[in-house]
Amino acid sequence: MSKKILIIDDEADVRAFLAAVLRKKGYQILFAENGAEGLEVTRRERPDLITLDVMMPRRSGMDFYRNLRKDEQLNQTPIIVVSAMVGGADLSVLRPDAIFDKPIDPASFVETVERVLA
Amino acid sequence: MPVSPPISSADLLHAVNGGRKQGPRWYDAMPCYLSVQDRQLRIVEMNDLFRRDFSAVVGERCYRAYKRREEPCPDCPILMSFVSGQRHTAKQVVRMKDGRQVQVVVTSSPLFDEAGQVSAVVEMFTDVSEISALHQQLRRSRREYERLFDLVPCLISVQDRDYRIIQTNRLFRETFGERVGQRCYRVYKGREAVCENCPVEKSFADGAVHSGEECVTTRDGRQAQMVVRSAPLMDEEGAVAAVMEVSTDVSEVKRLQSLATVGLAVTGMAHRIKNILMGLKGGVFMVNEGFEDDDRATIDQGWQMVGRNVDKVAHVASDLLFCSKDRKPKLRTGVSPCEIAREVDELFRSRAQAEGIDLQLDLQPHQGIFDPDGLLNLLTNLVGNALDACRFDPEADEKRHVIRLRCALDAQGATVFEVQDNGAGIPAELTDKVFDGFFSTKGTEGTGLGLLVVRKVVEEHGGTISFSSQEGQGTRFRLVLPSSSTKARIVKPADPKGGSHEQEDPDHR
Repeated sequence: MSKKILIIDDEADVRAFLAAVLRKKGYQILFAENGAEGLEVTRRERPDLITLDVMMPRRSGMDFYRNLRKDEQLNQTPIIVVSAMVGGADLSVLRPDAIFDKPIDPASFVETVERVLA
Repeated sequence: MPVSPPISSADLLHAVNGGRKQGPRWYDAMPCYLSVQDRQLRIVEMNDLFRRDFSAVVGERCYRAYKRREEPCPDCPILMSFVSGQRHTAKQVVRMKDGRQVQVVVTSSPLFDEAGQVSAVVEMFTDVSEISALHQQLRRSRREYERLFDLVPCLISVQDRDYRIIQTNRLFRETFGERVGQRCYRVYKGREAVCENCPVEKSFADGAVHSGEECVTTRDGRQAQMVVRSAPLMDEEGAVAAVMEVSTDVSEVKRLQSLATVGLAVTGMAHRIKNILMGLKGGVFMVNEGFEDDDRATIDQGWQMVGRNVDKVAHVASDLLFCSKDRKPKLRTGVSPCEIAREVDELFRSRAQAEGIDLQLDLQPHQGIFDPDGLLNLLTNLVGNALDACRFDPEADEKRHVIRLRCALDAQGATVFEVQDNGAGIPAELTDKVFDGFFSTKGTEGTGLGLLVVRKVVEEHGGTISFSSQEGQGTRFRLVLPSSSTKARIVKPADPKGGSHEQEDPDHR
């Protein structure tokens, strides 16, 4: 059965792009437009990996991360941050499995996803 | 030198003796040293004070008694009185009985005999050591005060009621030149009348300290930003006699602030551009995938992504141009600000509905002189920000969000725009950064330069902008654009020969 990846990003174009890249590799894709929706989907669908934007309306990526880490059943879910803020804001507090600067390179993104899920 | 009236020697001796041969003499009561010398400079008479403080005896030479000298002092006033028959005054240093040397002011007055010849000279002197010391101290204090006045690292001037500069310090003179006697408004700004909100005027009016910020022109033609404080200088009756103005040149601070602002704006732009690039790259990726798989739907989806993100780049470029110094506003007559508000409403209506946000209009139609492109950009930014404030509201699930766009005339005939939302609000600690540059969140259709654009357009219309905000309650921006804006240029509606042309508005320079 294919693994589930949740894409959390408020920009539709980004969601579409990441989904196109990942679907090609046979992953099942879930979407959320903000941190709050991301938490709902995570609890309901238990994705195998989450790609997370940082600056989003309502619950930000930081908020989502803090809440997820508090949840004992979900806090081992791997997270890949995909943000335009890399190099600007301090993302180190998130301690994700990987960080990608926008715009991403699809090949290395897929490679990282596969490595994290392996 | 006053001429002494001729007094007979007999009269004077009589006077000196107080008309008595013995008993208390009036000159003993005098609070100064008094003695009488003959032509050989021998002391023939002295008062009690003299006797008490100097080791002198009758018959002794005065120069010996005063100074332990063996010959007459140079510039001796007594000798001068003998020669000229007139009164003389001199400063001398004498030695007292206790060995102290004191400074005295000596006055010598001739005494005449019956033949009108000078027979003796009365010498009167007072110890002025203390006064001398005070004078010296005063001179020292004045020098110190002048030194400090000059050393203060601010520009200081003192103005009288006619705004004439009556005193300046070194830094002031270095910045503006020697300007004492000239009117301050002329010196600072080349004006012919008092500046608006003049702090000096206020200090004269209410006797209080006032402050302000002024842009002035220095002697070398540089525009300098000064923080000015004015303090009243009171006379003995407590009335404001003059006003001291202390100014600090904050041009460098302002420059650094604007550099920091530029830095923030550039960071924000980079962030925004990276997001757009992500969309473009995504679009290109999907078009390629679509071609590879011969999948028309994916090609279409990718191509639409490319188109949307190209539009976003255009929007960023347009905002950058709006913020550029070189852009001249194109003011036109007969512009309806409410029509522009309606246009903005149409632009955002479907998006607001999709987000469950109620976008309300409150319009009072009128016309005026405006830059329509500027107003459109301004309102697009403010309404876009309001939408984001609702979308980014952590209480988005519980609240019914409303954005109210109002355009009306105030009592003075000025156009008032208000954009009010009940969204996330701005945290109190960030309210003073709102106009600093990239003050934004992501997700907006704007560029992070939005409020800079808003401020620039308002300034171009000679208007004012204010806002109030409470975290969790919402934000209200209020813009007042005067009916007769501004110093800018007006673009008249197209002339018959084709095209529009710019011209100076003679009334609004």
